[in-house]
Amino acid sequence: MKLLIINGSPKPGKNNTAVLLKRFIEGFKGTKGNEVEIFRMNNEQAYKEAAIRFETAEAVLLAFPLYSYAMPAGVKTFIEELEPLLGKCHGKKVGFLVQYGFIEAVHARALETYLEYISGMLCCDYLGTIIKGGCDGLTKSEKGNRKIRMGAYEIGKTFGATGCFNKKQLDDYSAPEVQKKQNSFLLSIIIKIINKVYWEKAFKKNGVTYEGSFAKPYGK
Amino acid sequence: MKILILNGNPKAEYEEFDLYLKDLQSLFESKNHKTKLIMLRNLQLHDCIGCYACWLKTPGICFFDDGIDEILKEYLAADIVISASPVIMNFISALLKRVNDRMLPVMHPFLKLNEDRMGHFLRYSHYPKTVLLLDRPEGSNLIDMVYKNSQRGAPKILNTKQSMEEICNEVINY
Ligand SMILES: Cc1cc2nc3c(=O)[nH]c(=O)nc-3n(C[C@H](O)[C@H](O)[C@H](O)COP(=O)(O)O)c2cc1C
Repeated sequence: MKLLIINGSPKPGKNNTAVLLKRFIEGFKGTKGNEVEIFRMNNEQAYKEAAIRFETAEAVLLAFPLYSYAMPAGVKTFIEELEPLLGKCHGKKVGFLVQYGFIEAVHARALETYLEYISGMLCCDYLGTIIKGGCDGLTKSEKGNRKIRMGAYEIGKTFGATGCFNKKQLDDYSAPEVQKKQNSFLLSIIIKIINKVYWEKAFKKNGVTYEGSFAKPYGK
Repeated sequence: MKILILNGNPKAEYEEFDLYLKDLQSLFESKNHKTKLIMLRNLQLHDCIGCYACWLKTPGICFFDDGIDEILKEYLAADIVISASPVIMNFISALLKRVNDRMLPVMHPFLKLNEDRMGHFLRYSHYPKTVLLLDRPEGSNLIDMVYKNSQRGAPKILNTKQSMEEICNEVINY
């Protein structure tokens, strides 16, 4: 199969979406004859170009970070470019990869429903949506986050071999759906640690103090 | 009451939508509600590029000095913000989503646990109530799902097929 992969991360340079895609592609290429074309999309020209490539592709994986519980504005621009293709994409396979900071899968579920719906409106064959939270620091540590990266590899491998996503595999990967009540004490400690060693360290490196990080430049 | 209307209509040809919002603004003003209308497509706003400068370098201030500061100020000063958009490909316009993404500076990077899921600390102690105003009732259920799922809660969703009086009452009594 020839797969068009569109990376819609708005970030210039390194991005977490690409880290997962790299592993997914390794898995996908594990089946002989599979080929990928990677297209990076983060400017007006690229949204138009991506829509042209989408039209002729046999199978597409659209990957992007969750922005405010939905797709980034640029990815929405791309989706708007697809309007002339509504009802016209019979036989085209379309899948999605959505990764983001918060750990739980629930944050992306409403968006997933939208993605499935819009795939249907285009008359594409909807493959499914790979959802993975806890991805904020992927570009920062190649060694950590092994489970997250290997999961993307395994899903790519299954897709490469069968041409489909496996629902159970996607569900296992995106877990937990929400946090269980009995874990909330432990989790609140983990969150405090993340705030301290990830966020606080990051702003202090820029000379921003703890109090300064709470600045209110435009109001109360 | 202080009201801010963000017009997220990307198409100048779609005059009907712009006119509706202008008339709505007049109606609010006739009832003594100070109302500001910002035409988003006339601004040259960048998409958010996820640089996190607004969290880690200049807390609360966006890296792009392209007029977003005015919108942030008006947003925080308002009692109610009406984000208006035509439904395009069953979602809010990319133009309105752009401003939505650019609101990141009003949050703080620190995580917290909201019941059974993660959320962020809020930077400010006062935020406006938010309303989404679409140009039709159809398609609003998916948009509703996405925004119900979001941390700052479900905005009320209204549409321009409703009478202006009705919208006005809904907003003021929200
Ligand atoms: C404007 C903006 C909005 C975001 N909204 C969310 C969100 O709603 N939920 C979440 O978990 N992460 C959110 N994030 C975090 C990103 O999804 C996360 O950092 C992602 O890994 C970035 O991927 P990238 O490096 O490929 O661009 C947001 C980030 C930005 C810049």
